[in-house]
Amino acid sequence: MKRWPVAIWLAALACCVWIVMAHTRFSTDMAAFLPDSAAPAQQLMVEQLRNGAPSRMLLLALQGAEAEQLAVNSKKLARALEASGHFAYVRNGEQALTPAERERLMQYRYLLSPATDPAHFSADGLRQSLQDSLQLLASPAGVMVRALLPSDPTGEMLALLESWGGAGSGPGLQGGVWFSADGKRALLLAETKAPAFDIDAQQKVSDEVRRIFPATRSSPQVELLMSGPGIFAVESRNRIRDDAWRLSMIATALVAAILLLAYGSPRLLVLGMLPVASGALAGLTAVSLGYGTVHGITLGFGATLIGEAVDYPTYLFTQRATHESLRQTLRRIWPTLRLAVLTTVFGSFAMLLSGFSGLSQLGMFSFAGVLTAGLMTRFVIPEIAPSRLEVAERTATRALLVHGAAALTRLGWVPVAVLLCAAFYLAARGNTLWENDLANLSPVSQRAKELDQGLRNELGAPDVRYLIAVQGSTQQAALERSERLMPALQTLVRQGITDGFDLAARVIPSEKTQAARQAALPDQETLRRNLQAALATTPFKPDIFEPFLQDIERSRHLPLLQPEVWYGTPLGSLAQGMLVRRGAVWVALIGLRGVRSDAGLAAFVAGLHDENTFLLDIKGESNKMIMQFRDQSLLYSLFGVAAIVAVLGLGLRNFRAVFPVMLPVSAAILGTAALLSLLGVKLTLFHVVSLLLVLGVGLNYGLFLSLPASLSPDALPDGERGKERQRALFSTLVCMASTVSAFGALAFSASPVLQAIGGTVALGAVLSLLFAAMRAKP
Amino acid sequence: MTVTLLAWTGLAHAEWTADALLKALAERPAGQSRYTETKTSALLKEPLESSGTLRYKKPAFLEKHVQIPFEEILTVDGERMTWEKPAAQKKHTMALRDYPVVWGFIESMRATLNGDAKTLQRFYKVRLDGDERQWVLVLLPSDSGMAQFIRVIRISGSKARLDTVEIEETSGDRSFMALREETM
Repeated sequence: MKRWPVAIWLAALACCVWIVMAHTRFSTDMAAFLPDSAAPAQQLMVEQLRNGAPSRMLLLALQGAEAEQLAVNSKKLARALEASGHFAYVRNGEQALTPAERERLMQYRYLLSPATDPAHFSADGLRQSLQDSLQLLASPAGVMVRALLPSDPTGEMLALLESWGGAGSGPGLQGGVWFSADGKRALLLAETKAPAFDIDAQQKVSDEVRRIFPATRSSPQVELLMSGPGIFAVESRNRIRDDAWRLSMIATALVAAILLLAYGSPRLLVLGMLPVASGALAGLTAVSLGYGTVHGITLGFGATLIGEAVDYPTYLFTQRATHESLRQTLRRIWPTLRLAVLTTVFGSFAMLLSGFSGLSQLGMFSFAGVLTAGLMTRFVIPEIAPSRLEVAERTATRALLVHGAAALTRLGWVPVAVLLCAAFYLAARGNTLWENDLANLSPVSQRAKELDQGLRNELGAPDVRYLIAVQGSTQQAALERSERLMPALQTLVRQGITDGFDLAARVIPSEKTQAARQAALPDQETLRRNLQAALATTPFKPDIFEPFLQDIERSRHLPLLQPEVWYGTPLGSLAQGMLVRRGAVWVALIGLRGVRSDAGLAAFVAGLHDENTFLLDIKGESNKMIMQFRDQSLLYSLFGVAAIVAVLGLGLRNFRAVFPVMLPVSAAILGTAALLSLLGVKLTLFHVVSLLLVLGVGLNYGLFLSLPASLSPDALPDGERGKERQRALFSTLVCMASTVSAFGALAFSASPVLQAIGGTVALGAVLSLLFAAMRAKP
Repeated sequence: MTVTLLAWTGLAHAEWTADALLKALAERPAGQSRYTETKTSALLKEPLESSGTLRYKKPAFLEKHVQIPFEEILTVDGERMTWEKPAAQKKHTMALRDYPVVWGFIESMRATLNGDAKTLQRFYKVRLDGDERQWVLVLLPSDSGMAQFIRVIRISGSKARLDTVEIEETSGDRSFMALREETM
């Protein structure tokens, strides 16, 4: 036994473990799907998805008891959630605005009010305002406005309160808190402090809410419903993880059973798992060294892609001839096995060059992983395997296989026919082949989606799909542009295209606007004169409006309202989230509530003919982004295929020999895609990645089934050739069976992603082997 | 003799309760009155006089049409309130439950006129003074939001007819409304 390969392996293993444990950071960031040269809209969209205010929104509802009881519970829950420290704010309708917000609105009312202009404070303007105030005082609302009247006879504060906390800005009230229209659910809205993309943090928040809730409810009948992007992210991840965990257990057991049956030795089973495990670790280390963070998709897809490496030791163990040592077997099969490894290594290398960080990480993972597994199989396994190896012969099975394979060779035309028909069919389907709506891939249940839509409608929470982005070279320029859109947006609301809109400029008007309003405020003497003139015709006492005069005078010298003034309030978080900096550009975002017409909205923004204003369709953009990623994956897979053909040509020293190796697997891949499509499945990125694995394993079947015959036709006596063929058939069958059972198990997942990967790989592996056997020389 | 007399007056008193009054009011399907209202406020030099008509119809319609000194039409039907100022061509529609205080305030009239005891009790502690010929319905806000603005509402009348509505605000302002029923 040579010790140095084992020593290197162990040292490298220890190194990898240390790097992964100490340095690897994982992320589940959408940014992985972004190309380096992403359009600003896409970058902005990803940012919003990752951490925009709508993404951090938590929608809550209480139900299951009488309205009165629910109202009490809602108040208690809101207090407790606020106290938990996890939320920027919690609102349940008790107070449309916090006391701090009211105070600031009052203080800055003349700078904030769109009504502030010189005419408003002329004698005529004041006369009109006073007349309105008098009517208001005499009305049923009079009792409420009375206290405010001496300092606000022109009704600025009322208008601001109305626009921020009045009807239409939230659901109806019952018992002082928000309720659904049917009065069955008390509604709450909260914004998590934790970023939306941090699923662990989001999970912690939702666990915390579930923990707090029972202590605040008055009876066990009261139920809590939760929804929002964070909840969805947590649910998707947990569903996929639970499914993946459960099904991997089943898959592992199945694979172990098959390999145990094939080898007849538990020890070999363990040895056989070492290369792929080491490969995964090496892949992880390489990615974390090369990129800093490892994306969740790299891990998930990478683990799928290096599934091929499970086969390497299988080829080694099952190709062993009687009385042969593993080293002797290796010497014999290494040229073929080396090609099997190198084709995948170079195929992955092509992906590594992609401009998408997600895709290039995936290439890196698979490159390092497969290379490691190949080297392990070649240099380490023979050293650590027991010298007196007992591998089951399975003579009967082998004999049966030979008969079956001989029968299959008569169907040599089938792969060609499948290849042609599938290629034709796929080309004819064109774009209808693909699933272009990401939502259909979400493992989140339909019920959860409906609940979300229901709560969103009732709460009047901002639409998570659309934003209007207005950009400018400075913060002020962006604010000014968004201010100019306000009249048009109001028209949009009147036309019923959307229920409402939010923009930062309502909370922090641009300095230009504020300064103009400030300049419109008359000096004290003028105002006093105007007020006196206006008062003459009203029954108001002349001296009660002193507070008004003082407030106007104060407002004239007020420093302009800055965003900091709002910090720590819900309005502040709105302003902060809606005014973002992107490099040298500032973007003012306009949130929309209850969009009723997608087409109407698109037409509105297009009709503005303003290159600085664009509609951000988050759903559309993210679909587009995944589509781009998929197309890139396809493109780089083609480069990969080219690299594989080159490797094969060089390895076989004969480019014409490449064709028989590539034909079966190509037929299998196109056949699988066509069959899935015929079954009504729309293909996705996940299918593409799965087909890459099929390419990896299927190519190996072709290599092992066609090479012994073609590589060295005269090297072996006839009897040996027959045995070699037997062994090749047996080992490819074992490899195929283990791949099918491992991935077949995933096909039973409820999550569309795992289902796609599992079904595709299993089907592709079966077809690859069948076609390879059909094309093998008898 | 004294005992019998006491028992008898007690019995008579028991017959004319708030429930009995509301029941009697509930039997009237609709009605219309002219009113004059006097609002006294610390903000005003002199009381503000206004007048107009008040109409109601079962189950949940109430309209206050101010005609003098300015025109204003306030309509409540079910959940919705409409506020119209014809001179300014302004019309606002809003949901009552968005304005709990205004809602409670309006129910003092609407629920009383419709004899809707349940709704009335939702907003007020209800007490009845006097007898059938001359009664006073005293409404004390039970909700703290409303109690912040309104101290008490007193509605007086005779049998199933309302004569006056008096509102006392916590600010000290008050309004007094006199109603004169019209045959429809």
